[in-house]
Amino acid sequence: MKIASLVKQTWIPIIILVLISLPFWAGDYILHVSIITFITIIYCSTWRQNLISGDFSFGHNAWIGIGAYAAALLGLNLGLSFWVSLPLGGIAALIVAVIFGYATLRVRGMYWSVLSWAFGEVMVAIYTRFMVPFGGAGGLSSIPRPTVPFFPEFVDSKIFWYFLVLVLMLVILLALYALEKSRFGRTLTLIAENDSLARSLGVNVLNYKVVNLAISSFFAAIAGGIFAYYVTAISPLVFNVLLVFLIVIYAAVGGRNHFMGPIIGVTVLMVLTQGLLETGAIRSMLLGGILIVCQLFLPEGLVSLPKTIKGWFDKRKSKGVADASSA
Amino acid sequence: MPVLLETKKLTKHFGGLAAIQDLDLVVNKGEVVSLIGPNGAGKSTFFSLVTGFLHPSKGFVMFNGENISGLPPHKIAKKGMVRSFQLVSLITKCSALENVSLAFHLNTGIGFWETWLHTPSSKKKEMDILREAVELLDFVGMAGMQNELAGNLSLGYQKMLSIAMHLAASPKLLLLDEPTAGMSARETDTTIRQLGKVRDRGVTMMVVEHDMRVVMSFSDRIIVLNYGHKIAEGSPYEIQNNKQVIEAYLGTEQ
Amino acid sequence: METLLLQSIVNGVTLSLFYMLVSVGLALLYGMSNIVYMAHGVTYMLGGLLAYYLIMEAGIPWLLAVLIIILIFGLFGPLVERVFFRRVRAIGTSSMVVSLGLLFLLEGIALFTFGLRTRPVSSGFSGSISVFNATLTFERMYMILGAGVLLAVLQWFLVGTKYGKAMRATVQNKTGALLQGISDDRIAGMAFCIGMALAGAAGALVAPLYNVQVSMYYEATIWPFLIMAVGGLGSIPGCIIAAFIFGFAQAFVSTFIGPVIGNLVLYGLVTVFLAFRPQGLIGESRAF
Repeated sequence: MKIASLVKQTWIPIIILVLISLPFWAGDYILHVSIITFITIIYCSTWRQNLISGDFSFGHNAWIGIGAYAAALLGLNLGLSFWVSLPLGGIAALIVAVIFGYATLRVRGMYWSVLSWAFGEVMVAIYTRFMVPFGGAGGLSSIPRPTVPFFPEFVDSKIFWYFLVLVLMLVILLALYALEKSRFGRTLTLIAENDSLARSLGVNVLNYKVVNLAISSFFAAIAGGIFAYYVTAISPLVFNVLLVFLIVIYAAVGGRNHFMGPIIGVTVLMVLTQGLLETGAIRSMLLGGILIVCQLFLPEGLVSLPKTIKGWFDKRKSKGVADASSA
Repeated sequence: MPVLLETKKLTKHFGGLAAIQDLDLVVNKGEVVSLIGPNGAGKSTFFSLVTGFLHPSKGFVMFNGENISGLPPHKIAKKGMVRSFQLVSLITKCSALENVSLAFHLNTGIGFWETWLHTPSSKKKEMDILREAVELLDFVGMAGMQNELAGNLSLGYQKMLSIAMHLAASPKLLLLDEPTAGMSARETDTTIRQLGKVRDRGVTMMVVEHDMRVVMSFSDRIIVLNYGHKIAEGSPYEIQNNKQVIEAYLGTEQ
Repeated sequence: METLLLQSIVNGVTLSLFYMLVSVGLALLYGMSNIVYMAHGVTYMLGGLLAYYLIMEAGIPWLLAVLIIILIFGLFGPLVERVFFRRVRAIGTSSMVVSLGLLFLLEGIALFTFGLRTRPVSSGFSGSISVFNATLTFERMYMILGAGVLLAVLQWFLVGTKYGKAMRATVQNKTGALLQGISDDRIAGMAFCIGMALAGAAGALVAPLYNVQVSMYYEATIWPFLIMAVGGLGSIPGCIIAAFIFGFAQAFVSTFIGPVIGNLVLYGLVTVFLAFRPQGLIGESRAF
């Protein structure tokens, strides 16, 4: 079908064009929601990266939090520019992730998941306990605005943040996609499916998993750092395990086994729960309900919707033929 | 003939039970050695021990003159001793060609950054690998099945694909764990013919097998284990007429 | 100093028993049906909320309310299994993710009805006795007694009854139990019944001690998981031992060092412990 292949080839540029044009016709509120959505997509896609090698992380909040706190502190206490603090925050998380990875990634499956959960909570407890430098339970505020040459006030507009986060998200998504399709990514899939086979083919499984964790933590931390600077105030509870729970929901609804899964899941659910951000009750109920329905009836996620619908039609067609021929 | 694999006093305890006891064994380059014995004799344990999936309680393993006892599996595989598994190991959701290509990939020196950035040089190397993968699939008799999903292949072809993947690792010694298990007579014949071609290519093989027809017709030498001990060793003819071996399999005559 | 020590012991006992109540259900579900149930913390919280309504608004005495809650949650358990988790088993999706949905759904409902308020619940027991310079309130005594009775009943059930023995057998040997004619569904249903009843009871028993609020589900979600992991995923004796360790550790560190540092230290120790011994105290060693 020529239309189908045409759509396949052009939908990405079309969507990107639409996204780029957004600030010219959308108001501040939509821009704000988009910014949060983009950041969440980065959280979710980087979380899924660990899933590719078979590691279901409950501690992803740790990297996001480290990125946020490190970048914020570097700006607040050392006066470093945003453009320097942000990548340094990413590197801080990467270093911690590598140490944590080598120490723990020998552990398998569910055991590692619980372990990572405990670790995430350790980080939150650290931020809460130590007034200096993390600001304790009250967190950090008045995180300084980034400086831009020529138009310093540009930073105060949502448009600046929108484009910054959009570009960052696209770059990170591209990097993750290239990674998944590369030999490294395919080896990760092999490790997840058949650990022993990988080893018998000469794969150093621990190294692969640690590198994977390092990459995903770095990007997640960058997203955390941007979040901190965008909202200018952070506190420990923002980075507790509930963040991971939400990420899991988005990924599961969108489709955990597909690259587009997190993107679709985050977008759909963010749009659906719009305006409900304030009343936590209805948002929780909606997210929970949708997740349950999706998991029970569409376990592969929304990405599998086209396939499932096609399947229904095919079944009806063949049923029709059978009925006709037996009539 | 130079010695490829040698174990000396190899022992493995599980709790109080000795799965392998004081095993001295040699595999020479170019041979096909079969490892047989009743169920529970320790054959799979032996494979796990020499390939690093288990650590010996006592004794050591030498490969190509090097002491490899205690090395992790991936290091041993890189040195040229590669092991296949009883339960078929493949990436079920990838095609046969993708499976073999990946196995080749893991053995070539394309750098991490090169593949991530999808540089033109890495693309060229990928084309080379694809060609080699197609050749290998041809060699193992799976020429038409490149794009079949590995999970959809019949058992015989799955096992062949698994062997192909391990061949892609250019092994010096290939350890095959029950390669014809679960196969019909015809599939078994095909597999054995293929393995003959592999041997002709110069790959030394050690095979754990239960199908006596295969063992007797295919092996240069047979080693018999029982309760973790080596109870006999020799040519197929010698083993066939060895009383101890017969007793081990059938129990003593009453 | 003595009083602090004795107070810590009392706190330790209380905490341990409650951790046990909430964790055992979790261990049963994982050990027997391989279900990772994320919503037990919410069950505990709902027990507390329901206790508030029964005691403070309907005027039912505390201990009676606890019994009512046990009954209600015990009946709801198999229902939850039937509605949600039977299909999970049938199509092979992740119970963890589905129960996560349940967590959010129930939390949302709780927020909707109870809101953000925190409310005290009175037990109706005032007064206390002095033991070795420490004060032990009657309320606290009944709590400990209540928890202890429940656990004793559980113990009797698991060891003394046919169904209980079957459940324990499933943890050891799935196929063997199936061959005995006990179905997967029955077992999962019973595990849910017990787990939810215990968690709800814990919430109701503890209610007079802390103020009841929706956010109390959070700690009750994470601690039982860590306890279960430290004890050994799916091992009930391991769970009980770990619950004791956690309860006492938390009580002592809280009293002598401070509650926030207490959490930090505990989470840290758990992380390190699990990194070196992921199978827990009494676990299968296929963790590596």
